[in-house]
Amino acid sequence: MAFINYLIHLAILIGIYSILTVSLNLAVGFTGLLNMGHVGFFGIGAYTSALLSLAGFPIWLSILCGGLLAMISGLLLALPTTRLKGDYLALATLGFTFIMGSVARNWTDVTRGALGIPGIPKIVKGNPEFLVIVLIIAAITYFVFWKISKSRFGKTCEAIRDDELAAKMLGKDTFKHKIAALGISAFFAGIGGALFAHYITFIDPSIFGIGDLILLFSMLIVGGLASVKGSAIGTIILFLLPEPLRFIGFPSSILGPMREIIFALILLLILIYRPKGFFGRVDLA
Amino acid sequence: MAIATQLILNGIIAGAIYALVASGFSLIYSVTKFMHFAHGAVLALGAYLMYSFAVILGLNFWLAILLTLVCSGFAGVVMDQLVYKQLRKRKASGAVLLIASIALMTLITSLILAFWGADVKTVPTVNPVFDFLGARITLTQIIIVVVSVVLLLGLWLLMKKTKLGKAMRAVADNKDVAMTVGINPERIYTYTFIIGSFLAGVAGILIGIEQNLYPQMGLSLVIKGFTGAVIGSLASVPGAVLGSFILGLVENIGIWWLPSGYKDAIAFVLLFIFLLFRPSGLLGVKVREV
Amino acid sequence: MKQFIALIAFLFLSACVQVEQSESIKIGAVLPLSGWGAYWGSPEQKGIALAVDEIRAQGGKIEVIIEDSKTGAKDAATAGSKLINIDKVQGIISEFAAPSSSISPMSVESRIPVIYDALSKKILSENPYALKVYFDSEKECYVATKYLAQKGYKVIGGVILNLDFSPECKRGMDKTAGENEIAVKYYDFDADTTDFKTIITKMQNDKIESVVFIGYEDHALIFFKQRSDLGFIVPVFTGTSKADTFTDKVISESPKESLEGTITYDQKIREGFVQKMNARHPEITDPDLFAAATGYDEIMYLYRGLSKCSGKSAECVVSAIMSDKDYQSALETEGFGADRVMHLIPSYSTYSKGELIPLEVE
Repeated sequence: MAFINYLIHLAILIGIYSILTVSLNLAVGFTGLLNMGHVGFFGIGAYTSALLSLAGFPIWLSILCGGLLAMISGLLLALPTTRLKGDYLALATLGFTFIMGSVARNWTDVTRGALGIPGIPKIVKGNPEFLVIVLIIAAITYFVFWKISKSRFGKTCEAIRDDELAAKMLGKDTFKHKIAALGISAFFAGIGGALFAHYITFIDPSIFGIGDLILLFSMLIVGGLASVKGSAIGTIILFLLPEPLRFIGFPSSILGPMREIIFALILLLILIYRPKGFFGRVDLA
Repeated sequence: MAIATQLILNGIIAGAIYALVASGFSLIYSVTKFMHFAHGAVLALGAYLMYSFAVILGLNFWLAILLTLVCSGFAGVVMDQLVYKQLRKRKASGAVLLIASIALMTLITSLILAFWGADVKTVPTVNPVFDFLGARITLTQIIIVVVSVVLLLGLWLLMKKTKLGKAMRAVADNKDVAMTVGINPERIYTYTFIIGSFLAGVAGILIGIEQNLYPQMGLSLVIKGFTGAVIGSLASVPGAVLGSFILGLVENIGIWWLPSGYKDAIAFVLLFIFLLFRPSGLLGVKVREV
Repeated sequence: MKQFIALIAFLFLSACVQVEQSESIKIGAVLPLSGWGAYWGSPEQKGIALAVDEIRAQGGKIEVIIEDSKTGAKDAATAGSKLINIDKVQGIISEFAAPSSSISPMSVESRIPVIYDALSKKILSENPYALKVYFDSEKECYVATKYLAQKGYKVIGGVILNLDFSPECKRGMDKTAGENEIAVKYYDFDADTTDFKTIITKMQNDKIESVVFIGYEDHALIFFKQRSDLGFIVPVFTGTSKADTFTDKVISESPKESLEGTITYDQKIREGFVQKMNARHPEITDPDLFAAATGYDEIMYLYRGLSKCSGKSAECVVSAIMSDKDYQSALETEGFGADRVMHLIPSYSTYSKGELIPLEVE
């Protein structure tokens, strides 16, 4: 039944976005860094992999390069921003995302600007096969971050989130931890971006938009901060949530905005009545 | 030389527009300590209400303005009571408040889209052009610059001279200490939102007349507004206004040399640089204790 | 929490139960109902609704299922997948390059014909089941610049919205520049630009003699107003159509001296369609009519092609559409050519003393 194809499509997107959410959690939930540049890393990974593979590089190498370039951007971004306080860090990283968007739109020689990059090669021809690949990579991501969460590195990050001064006094190099957290999470965001590019086969500067940022943070908060499991589940919930709305027959004149309205309302309700999300262990103080 | 004058004038006008946005945003931030992104939505709502009152209903222009300002202030308070207050009660984090604010922004933008439609709306006014030192400026633009300065003075007076202003500053400095001297922070927050949203309404009316209305107008304006505020000083209204003027000037002078497509990039790069090297802004008002 | 998941799952699955097995021809419409493209997708629905009503009035069985692309590739892909896999549509219409580009591979794989309205030609070359509608930005900018060059203007400014037409338009302008020894300078702006003053000041400084303008109604409103304020009155030739840019609203609200001499082009819409639309929607504006007419024609062509080829392949549908010369489209064109493109035929006019006067340009 073709119905399964639709589920496969959703599952692929859920898989890719769970990689993003889980990795974002390391920076935001565990280390307390309000990183709004995650979408920037996602886009860098997507564009890098797309351009390299279209230039003839082998696909897996392109994807890896996407992750690496995203990671380098993450490290570079982390260097100056991690010493900023909460909201300021958010703004600076948000500024990074917007700058990347501007670069994508204006550096037309490389990125084709607003025209976008079509015809990105797929990794495998069939979607079910691609789903398997995505699920494997998502599982690896999940495992890596789960391990991190249980490791000394992860515990130190949480200590930094809760009380950086105390962590410093205990001799921890908080600076290095924060940079590493951003770098690692950026790497996986880049991989996610590359997978996205090779699935949708078209990307354009709108990938650096605020829409996906809101979506990611929603998934993160709904699932719960500092919970790897929460991020995965949050992703699933937020992808499946709008689906029933598709089948409610709205008069077509207000169809488009109506779904956005309901989605935003539901998000607000969840934020108000369950701000820790479903599995979250913390609130950022 | 007329060209240079025009350029600077363009920058000042743009800066005044950003200042209109930034002043309310910064006021709310300094007292409540979080970034009320949805300020842009109140602005957009103000613009669209003005359109409905003045154009669709055809009310008297000044009456329309009055109604719009009242509704804007009201809208801001409603947002605070229904959403932010509930989150504050549950000790929600800054991250959550930020997300809630962005969600509110999306909600209101979509409501505007659903209710008024996607096509651009205009509020036609009589708008003569004047010569000023070899450059040209219109009446609306003059009003915008004048209003932004007047607002600045008015807010300064409010904060320095009135009891309410002192209470707001007390809460901004240290909420707990303010409580010990009998100030009710929640009441102050309400007043802050009323005033801040009133400012958003003013901005919405003026910007709507000058630049026309479209549903997403709030987002781009609030981004420019907080960029200006960061440059000047996020937690200080005079700083926010100063920073906004600087932003307007740099943007307009910047695209003189750079391809004009980079206009937004200039703003973001400035934002970035200031956040990295001088987060407390040019006026250096510190927000938190280290 | 568990109840929540169960509820979602129940709603989801229950909605997927196939209720009727009708003989209707099902067409999916992936429209930009939110995001920056909403100005187009929203009124387009009116044209689609008219098409559906007319078809049914003639006894035809058609169902059009509308999904929101949010003017983006990702949501368009989900919409396309849902339409193809769950609704089992037999044809799709789609708007704008990003959504259409992400649906195209699905259309190829499922062998479902798609009519799309965008500038991207790449989709056509990669998808044998795709047909395209729209103006050719490269050609229009070429024609505009050439006309201005022939009128004697040596320094021409391109004020260009940074969307997918931008590179194609510049190609057209550069081509003319190469052929005619004139200078072309570009002034890009983003979609949410609300202030052209500095661009105008720059053009004054660069001694621009005439302008090719590409943007939408909202940009045109501000541009024409501000250029008048700043005293920069040079001839303007719009690279985008009258319905997009030099709309009736722009004409009625801009200072008259700013409009004088502006050249634009129109895609003629058949009077019959205009009357039907006005009967249903008395307040409908020009830009909305254009969008509605496009939606109407896309549905009609696809329905007619699908009817002729019931049960047969997508290739059949595509060639049926290309050879369909009996249909009187709402947009006055000659239908789809051998290149699978429905070429819109511009008719040029110039604004003079309050009226639009036809102009011979090419």
